[in-house]
Amino acid sequence: MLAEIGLIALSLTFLACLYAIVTSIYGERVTSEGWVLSGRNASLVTFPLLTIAVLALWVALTTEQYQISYVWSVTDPQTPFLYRITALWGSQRGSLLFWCWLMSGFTFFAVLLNWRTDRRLMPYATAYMMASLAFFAGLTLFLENPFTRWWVDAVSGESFQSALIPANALAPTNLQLSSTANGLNPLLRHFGMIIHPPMLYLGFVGFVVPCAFAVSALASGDLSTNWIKATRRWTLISWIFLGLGLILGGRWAYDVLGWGGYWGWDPVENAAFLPWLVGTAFLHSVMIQEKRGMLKVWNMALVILTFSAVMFGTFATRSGVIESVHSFARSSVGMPMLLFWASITLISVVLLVYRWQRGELRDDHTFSGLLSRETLFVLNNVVFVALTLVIFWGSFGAPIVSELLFDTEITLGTDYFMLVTPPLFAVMYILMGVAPLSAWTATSVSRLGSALLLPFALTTITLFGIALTSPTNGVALVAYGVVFLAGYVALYEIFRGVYARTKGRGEAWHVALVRLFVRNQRRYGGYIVHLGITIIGIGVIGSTLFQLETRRTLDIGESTQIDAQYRVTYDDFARGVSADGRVINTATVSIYRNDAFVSTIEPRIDEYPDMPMTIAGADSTLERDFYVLLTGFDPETGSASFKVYINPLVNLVWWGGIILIIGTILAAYPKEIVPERVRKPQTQATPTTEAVLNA
Amino acid sequence: MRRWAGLTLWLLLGAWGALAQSRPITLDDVNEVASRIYCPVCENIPLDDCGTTTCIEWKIEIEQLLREGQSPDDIIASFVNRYGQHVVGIPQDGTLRLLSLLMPLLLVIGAGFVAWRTTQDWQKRKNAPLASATATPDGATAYRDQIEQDLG
Repeated sequence: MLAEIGLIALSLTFLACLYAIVTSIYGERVTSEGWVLSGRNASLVTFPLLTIAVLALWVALTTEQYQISYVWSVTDPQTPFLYRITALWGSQRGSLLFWCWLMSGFTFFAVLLNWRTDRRLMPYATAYMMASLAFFAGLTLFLENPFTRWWVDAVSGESFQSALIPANALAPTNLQLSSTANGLNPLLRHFGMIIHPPMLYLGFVGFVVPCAFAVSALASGDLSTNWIKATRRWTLISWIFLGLGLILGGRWAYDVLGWGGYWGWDPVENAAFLPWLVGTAFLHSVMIQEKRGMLKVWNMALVILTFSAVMFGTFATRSGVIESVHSFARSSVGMPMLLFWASITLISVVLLVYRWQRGELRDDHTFSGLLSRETLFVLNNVVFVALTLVIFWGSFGAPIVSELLFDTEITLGTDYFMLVTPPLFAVMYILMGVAPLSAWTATSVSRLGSALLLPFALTTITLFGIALTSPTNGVALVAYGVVFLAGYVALYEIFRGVYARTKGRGEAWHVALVRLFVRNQRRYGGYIVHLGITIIGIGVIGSTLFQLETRRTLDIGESTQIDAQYRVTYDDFARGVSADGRVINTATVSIYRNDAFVSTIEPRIDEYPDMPMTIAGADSTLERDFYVLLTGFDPETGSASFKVYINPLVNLVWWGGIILIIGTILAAYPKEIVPERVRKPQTQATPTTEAVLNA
Repeated sequence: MRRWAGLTLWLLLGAWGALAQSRPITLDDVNEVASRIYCPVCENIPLDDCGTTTCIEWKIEIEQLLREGQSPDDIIASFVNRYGQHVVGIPQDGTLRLLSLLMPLLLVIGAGFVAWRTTQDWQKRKNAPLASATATPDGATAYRDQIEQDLG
């Protein structure tokens, strides 16, 4: 029954999408309000329909309906309830349905909330969003159907899968099926995997909204800033989720994959990073169009490229074109996805070129000065796009070109990325430091220099402090320097704003701080984001340049010195079976620093039927992680080999990520929700913040 | 079980190696080399992080080669010869290496060129007479014109 409900809901979704595409475009072309409204209603119905389909699968997963082959493939009777819920995105078919549901949620709210304010853009935007949804709903329905069931041929006795009830077939009993059920991939049995995929999917699918409005602007000819105003918040929301997904993915890799790091430059990680980079470039350059009416073509290109990168990333992850830890999601959907990605990119680019050639995307204002915020934002965009291109080249371009032209498989790994990306990231941080202090239209070198004086002085003092108190080197000091400068500039800008309000309006510091953020949430939320990126940068530099890695083989009771400060003792080894059937091998290790006991950790190896999992034991402080992996053992003697990492400052990566998300939420938070007494100050006829700053 | 047999073998050989070697070769020395080689079987996983039996055997081989006096570069070159260019993070073959590393440089130069052209374009229009700059209606004006035209 659940399979039928899910199948019908999914089929109706697909039909509703097709109907919405046709009626929206037709209604717009013949200027028929009735058809356009009918298309809108069809698009709105997809979310409830997909909610029914998702609920049907969730109920099947939690009630152990093993006749549904997807349930059989991702759960077994030992699977805990929480993992039955998360098993929805545990494999290709379920995750595609989940993807459709999230996309329909975004389109539902975008259509509902933007319909009145952006009426002219809505028909084509609806058609674009529905085309994307139709593609994924079609894939799910026809190629990767999560509602197919197991059947047994009544004559031959052979088992097979079918979505519809076949003739001369019997349904096997749940008992028969449960004994052979697969269970969830062990890699996915982690807290990070519970929320990492939904966050990443939300980030991915959310970008369909800004892209749909941009394409609609190109198709309809409404090339004013309407599409930008309509999509700014959607872009930020998608960017938040994508950032959160990347951070959680890094944390999952750090905890579960057992190699002591959080970013391995794996092609699939990179595929998720590319839309974030282009989306970040878009979030910056769109400000130039809003403030100065410039970079119209560029902004269109960036938003198209962002969604194109999302689709490419999806194709790369799910098609099996890349071998990686994410290969669980491989299937036969590769070619349709490639065609869809190429089609939407081509159509969007053709529309953009068409409007560009007609001169409809000319800038409103002219350039005023070479040293201006506009120029620095363009440079910022160059850096983000250059990062996107070199990462794309290393992950996909070079291996594909090499195989096609030279018939040779190559891998561009960490060596390549650590060679080409650090200079670009350094320039990114320098621009993060300089651009906020420059003025729109033009700024002078002396003014910029005097604005940079205090942040530069603070950076110099900090670097002296680092050099005097901890082991470092020239490369690290330069890297820390550019990162700290960006952070101090963000803090300085916030301080200047608060100071101006306290002087100009006589507000208390805390009141001035709150009102500063409320009055210009985007600008100051952006500075919090910059602070988050700064803290991430400090964490990345510390954990990359000063990571200590060593391997030791120890007998029970044996101690070994790891570095000048740290010593470990291998205390004990235990082997047991958990409630869910895994064999757990646990080593107990004590950590000592300068001979003083620090803590006891328990690295372990969990043996699942088809693969082992290495779970690190870690003692975490803000200063460092002492991270130990049990890499092998002799079950007879208890002798074990360990991989020990000391990862300095690694926890700043996670804390920086949290600050980044808070900053983005501040920037995207709807101003209307803030109480009026906070939004509007009591004093009147006082100078503006800008006037005080410029005084 | 094969995995544990391999790991046990790895441990025993490691212990034997520590006793028998003429110069001390540590697990760190082995893994320093292994970290520069990608697993030929499990793509995109460095050899030092790979736990399959085959990879453990390769690490044992690296240890033996180090003990025989081969340099890390020699060992890596021998792996490239046997398993192909994809076992290293940047190809060792001259042409492929050039292709891999030259392209990012060209991409960065290309992106910089686009930025330079953009600012040049701005500069030209800044210097152009005002009339020509305002001759073309902006998006909002064009939209209003279109509405007026539609309304007849």
